[in-house]
Amino acid sequence: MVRQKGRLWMVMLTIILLVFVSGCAALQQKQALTPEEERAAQKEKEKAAQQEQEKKGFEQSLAQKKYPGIEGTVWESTLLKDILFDFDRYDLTEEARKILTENSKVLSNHPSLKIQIEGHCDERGNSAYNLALGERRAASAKSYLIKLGVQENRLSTISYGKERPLDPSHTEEAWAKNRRCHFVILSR
Amino acid sequence: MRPIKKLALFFLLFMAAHLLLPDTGRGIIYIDINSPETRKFYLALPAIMALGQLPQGMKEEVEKTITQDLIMADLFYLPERAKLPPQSVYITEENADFKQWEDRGIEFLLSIGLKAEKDTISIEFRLFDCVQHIYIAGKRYKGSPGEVRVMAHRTIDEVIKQLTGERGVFQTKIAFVTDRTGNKEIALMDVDGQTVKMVTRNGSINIYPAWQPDGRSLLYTCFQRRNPDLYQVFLATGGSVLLSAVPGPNATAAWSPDGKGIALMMRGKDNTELYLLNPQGKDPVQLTRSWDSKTSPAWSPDGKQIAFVSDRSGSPQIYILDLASQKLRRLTYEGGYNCSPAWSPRGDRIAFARQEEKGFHIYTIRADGTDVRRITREGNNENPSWAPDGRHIAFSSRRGGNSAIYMTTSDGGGPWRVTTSESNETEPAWSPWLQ
Repeated sequence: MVRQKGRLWMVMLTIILLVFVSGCAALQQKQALTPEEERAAQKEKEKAAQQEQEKKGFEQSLAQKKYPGIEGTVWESTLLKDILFDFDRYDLTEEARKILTENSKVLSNHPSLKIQIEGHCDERGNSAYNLALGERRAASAKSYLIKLGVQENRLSTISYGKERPLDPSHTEEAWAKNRRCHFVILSR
Repeated sequence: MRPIKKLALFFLLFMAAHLLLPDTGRGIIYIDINSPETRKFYLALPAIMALGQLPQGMKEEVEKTITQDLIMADLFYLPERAKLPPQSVYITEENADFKQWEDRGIEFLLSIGLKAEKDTISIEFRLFDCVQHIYIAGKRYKGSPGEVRVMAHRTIDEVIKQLTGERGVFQTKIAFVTDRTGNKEIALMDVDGQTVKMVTRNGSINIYPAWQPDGRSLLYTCFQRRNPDLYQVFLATGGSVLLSAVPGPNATAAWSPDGKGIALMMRGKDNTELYLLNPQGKDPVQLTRSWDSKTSPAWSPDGKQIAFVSDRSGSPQIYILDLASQKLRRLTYEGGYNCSPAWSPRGDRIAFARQEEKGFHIYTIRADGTDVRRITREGNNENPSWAPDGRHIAFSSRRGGNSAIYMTTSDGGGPWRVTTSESNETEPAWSPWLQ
């Protein structure tokens, strides 16, 4: 009886051992990577590093900004570029669409960002009409960013009309710079 | 033309008959400012007589204020003093020698005396009709030395009332936007540009001042909270309250003439629409609904219609919304850019600014869209605002250098520069009658 029991134990141990060894073999088989898999893993690593780099770069692109006479502070990022408009227009130019696509990438890379789109106008024309035009410009940019997949609740708009020109001089060059949408970060 | 002239003559004779009756003065119209045939009258203003000792410079200040008011009233020719009869005493009904004034073509004679007794200053005037040889009216005003300019304005307002039946506007105020602090603030001044007082002092962007019909407060838009919000500032205390802070513009507000509503532009779908708020700035009711941008509502004085700017034709033009029928009609067809409508307190005409090749000019148009008239000749002119008399219009004008507030009459009289600072002054809003 005792011997029989001992044999039974042996058999069971053998089985367990076999299962264990085969398991290890299976594991070993899994860890053995094909060259493609190796490349993918490498890419993954690079991507993580890139993301880290991106994040660093983004942090470095930020500058805190206080507007005179306006409560609170916002951040400006050199990666969020202004888009420009033609005189008395609010439709997006080819160039503006390209910039908005780039801006949308920044937003998708940093999903916690909430931004404000500022509509601005040049100094020519009626102040009230320009305030309405600035609304239009900001709304155009907002719609396009939503089309590019940015969530609406991350985007707010404001029109400054002709009240906050980037360049206060009275030249064609200044006016062209001032007909713009500017993007500021309200929260990160 | 002829029949009108005859009618005017008949009218004058009729009035003259009335003048011969004792205790006249009220209800007599010497100058019919509503007549298209109105001409200017020759008014003599002899040197102001000091009745006793006066604080230094006071006589000159009164003289300057009164002369300016008479010029800006745009009702009179003021002959040079040198061409007037020499005069050494204060002219009263007892010593007035009408003949010598009449002989020099003078139609009205305004004699003004100034007296100081301790801390009380009094200004008195006597007004004469030198054609009919009649003493028209005389009054005396008393006040502190600091009120001497107010009394001078009151004198001229009364003189104008005696002659036209309608009081002058020189005791009203003009609110405007100034950048003299480096940002845009709302300020207040007399119609001759004196006594400038800052109404806001928050360092932000403050624009679009608009009067409450009783003259106690101003609406304005301020960006302080990172949104163009609507505020109300009470002039007696200087305190501001936030009225409307809906995301998007709460801007170009205009109080309804009955004081029961505030029309303004607010955010629409991708555009701006006109809304109506209650006097507390709440319960917005949407007045317009279409794809185009709308700004700058201006009430008709009966409160039944609102003129505003829309770009539905492809460029900013002025339209009129009838509130009862909800019907819209287009007012301006000429010009590629018409904006800033301001409805005359008399109801018949609407002033606006039209962009032309070399800048903006002020125009008026009948409310039915006919009879368009340009009333500025030079400069870049914007934001017309009517005085409560329906005769004067304030506007901002850039004539080389900075923008200043100017004043004209509805038929293009003047214009007179009102603000003289080196800063930019824009968006005048003429007050209603005060007091």
